[in-house]
Amino acid sequence: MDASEFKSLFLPLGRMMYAEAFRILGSAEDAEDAVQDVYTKLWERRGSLAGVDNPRAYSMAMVRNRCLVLAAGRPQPPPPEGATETGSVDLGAEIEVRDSAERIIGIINTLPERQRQVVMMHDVEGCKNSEIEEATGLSADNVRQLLSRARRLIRECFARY
Amino acid sequence: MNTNDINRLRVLLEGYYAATLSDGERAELRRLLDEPEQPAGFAPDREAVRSLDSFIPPEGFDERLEAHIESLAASGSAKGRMRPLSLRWQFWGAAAAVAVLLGVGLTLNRPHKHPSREMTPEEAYAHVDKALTIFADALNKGYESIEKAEDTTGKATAKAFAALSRLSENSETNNSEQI
Repeated sequence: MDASEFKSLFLPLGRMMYAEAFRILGSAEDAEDAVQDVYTKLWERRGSLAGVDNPRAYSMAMVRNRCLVLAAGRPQPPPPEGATETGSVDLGAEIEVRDSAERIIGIINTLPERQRQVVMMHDVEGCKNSEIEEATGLSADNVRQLLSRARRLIRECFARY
Repeated sequence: MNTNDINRLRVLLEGYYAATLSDGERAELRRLLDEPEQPAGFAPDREAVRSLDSFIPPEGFDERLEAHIESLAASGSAKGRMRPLSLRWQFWGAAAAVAVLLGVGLTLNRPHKHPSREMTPEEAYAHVDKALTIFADALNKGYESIEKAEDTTGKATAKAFAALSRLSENSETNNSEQI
């Protein structure tokens, strides 16, 4: 598999891989680094990738594994009394972002299935409308309506709490 | 935040929840929601939009990723890569081919049967044949197998060469004795 084939097969998956990495790691920088690590590994294995039936699932599994390893290897937050102001603000912001990412995924998972699927594909994974229509068998209008309802429900959840 | 911005924010939010915003309008919405001192009523909207937008990669992500792949392709140092045949490999491949020809030639042209102390031409041929088979299999197995096969083939070819050389020397000696 040459670079051109590799890019056409795997580059479109980058956005979705980033979303998954961000969901686990909660940091834009760490998520991008993790995605690049996975692309390096994919490139190393390109000789055997032709036999992979589902490049999307394969890549997502690699991202998940990589991020779980990275997350497990992270240093524990220092005790509040020992932390410097700068350190605790950075770490606090990172924790807040990670919590926010987990929270929104939690909210999305409570949505009706079709809405959940559409908002995950559109807003989280960055799929184009045409990809969503093809994957779900829905019309462009249906996709838009489901996305609209999902976003309003999400807003209600935030308003409630 | 002034009144115009607040009104614009309301219009953009309505478009956002209707899922009709363009990319440019969405960027404008994000910018307005990042403005300080917004009316409190917009807090849930800010949380909802920001939470979903957090999954959008930072600017330039796609370009950096493509550049990363290009650098991997250009570096040529990744494992498992199928390299073009190295000069060393080409040499041993050619040597194996020559050894086969020599073996066949000696077998057909030797003046009389002379029992080899170590290896007959047939055995030498078999060694080379085996080496070529390993070579062919290795090409299908990839780079790491090529390295292993290269080593094995090299040894087998060297052994075949040595045997053929001895045969050749013995053959010349016998011929000169007869003369």
